[in-house]
Amino acid sequence: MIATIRAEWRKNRFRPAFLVSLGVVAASTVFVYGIVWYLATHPSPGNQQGVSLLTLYPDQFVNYVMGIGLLLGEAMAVVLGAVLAGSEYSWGTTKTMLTQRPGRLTNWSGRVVVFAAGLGIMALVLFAIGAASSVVVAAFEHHAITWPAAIYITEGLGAVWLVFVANGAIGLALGVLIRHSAAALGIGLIYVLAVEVLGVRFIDSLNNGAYKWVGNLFVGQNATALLQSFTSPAFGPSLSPAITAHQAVLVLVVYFVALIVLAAGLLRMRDVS
Amino acid sequence: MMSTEHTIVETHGLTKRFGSGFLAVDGVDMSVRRGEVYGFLGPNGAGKTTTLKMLVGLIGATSGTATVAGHAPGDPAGLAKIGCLIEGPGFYPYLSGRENLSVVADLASVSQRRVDEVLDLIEMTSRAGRKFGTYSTGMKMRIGVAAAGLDPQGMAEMRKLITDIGQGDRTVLISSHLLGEVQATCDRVGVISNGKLVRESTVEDLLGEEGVFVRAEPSERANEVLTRMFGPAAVVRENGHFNLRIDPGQSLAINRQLMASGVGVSEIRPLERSLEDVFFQLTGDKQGS
Repeated sequence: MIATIRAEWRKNRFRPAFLVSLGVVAASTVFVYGIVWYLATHPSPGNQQGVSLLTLYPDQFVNYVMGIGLLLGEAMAVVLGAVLAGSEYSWGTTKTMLTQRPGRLTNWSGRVVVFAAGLGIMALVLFAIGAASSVVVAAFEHHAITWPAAIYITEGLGAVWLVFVANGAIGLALGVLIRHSAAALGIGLIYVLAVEVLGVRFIDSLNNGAYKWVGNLFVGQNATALLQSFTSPAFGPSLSPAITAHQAVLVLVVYFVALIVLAAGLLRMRDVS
Repeated sequence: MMSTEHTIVETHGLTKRFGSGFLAVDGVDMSVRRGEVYGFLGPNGAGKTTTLKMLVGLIGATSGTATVAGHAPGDPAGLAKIGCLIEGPGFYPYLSGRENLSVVADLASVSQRRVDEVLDLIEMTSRAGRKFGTYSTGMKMRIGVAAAGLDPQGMAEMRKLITDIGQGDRTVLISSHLLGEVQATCDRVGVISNGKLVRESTVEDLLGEEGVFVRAEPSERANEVLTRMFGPAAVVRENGHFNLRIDPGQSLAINRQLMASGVGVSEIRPLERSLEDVFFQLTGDKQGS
């Protein structure tokens, strides 16, 4: 298992898809901070709902990067998962890997561990760039730099990572199922960005919301609920969420485990032709 | 089923029928012995690659059994004892040749020092830092064979290498398109056609079947005489000549009989066959695999 993790890390640490994802997350975080900072300091005369500068300071950075993570992270994680699993088939490297010493399930386990670690790095980059951006804003605005409690930062980091890995598992499973990165990536993105959103809306609208509980079992709903559980008065009044943070964590963990096990079963059973 | 001490690969009734119903491999019984170089031949689509993939566990057999180095196909303990390169080298295009070999070394629990040794052997050290995707086909194959534990340096050296590797306890199973190379390097061959193993023997036995080549005119009269002498099963008529499956010591008697029957003999000699001739006879495939 250690050998497999080492091999997976060796081949993924410089993987263009991974490095580009980190770059996109970092650049997007800086971009969002910059745009919002500009809007907060240059409000339109007729706009009553201005953007609060308070949300951009270091004490709020966890809540702020949550929003960026939810917007970007889901899609990026699906893309990474699909590329990681699907390209092994496109390049023919599945044959090379599966004819070495470790068995198929050990290979898969190593891949999942390194993938989860990679998404952990992506969450860390998101938080680090968010924190740095908030310090820059505070410095320019002559605002005191105070940080959230360490436990709060840790919980936030864990929540974002969980959202990443649950969505990443969708990409991984699709990559194994379809055995082609481009198709898996496309289907994964369409599902996360369109099909699930429309599906949940449809289910919620049925019979005056009688089946809302079904809609609350989807990944996107639970990811949103989990990240919205990190609220702050600086962001204005928030609605009490229909899904508790604990339920959201449970559902996301179940999704991750179920998808990984499903993909492992497929990988173990199917021929590699 | 456990392989015997002297058998590295053994299959009994190995069969693969794909989901579409296509029968790719049909009850193959083959055995590859320790320390030999075994050539696995067959026309395109005969079932060679499917058989090899079953032996390393990439494809599951529909029925039948197989052992590789004493283990079931795909068993990690068995995979640890073999190196394989099937179809083509599958490596990460964004990694260098060295990094790709390092990944394989990690998986195979082989020292990273071995990577440099192997790169040196295949004379790729100076190009090991280049991305795999930029390599020529030949360089990719070198890395692929190096990953399987081999070190080719051109065809002539490859031939020597395979022969050398097949010395002692090591066993080489090759499926090649180049029948001449197989003839020059292999101790035994298995010929597969339409999913069935149609012949398995030493190269010597395969080529050494006795025979006589006869070119004579008129051809029809010659055919009558030869068939009367040896029976229709021993007479194969091809492109104006005859291949007789008989003892070459009878050449003189053949010549006399044909002359006495008014047939002019322009050429009579012991039959020399190449592996390609035998392959064609066994499979009916003119182009080989």
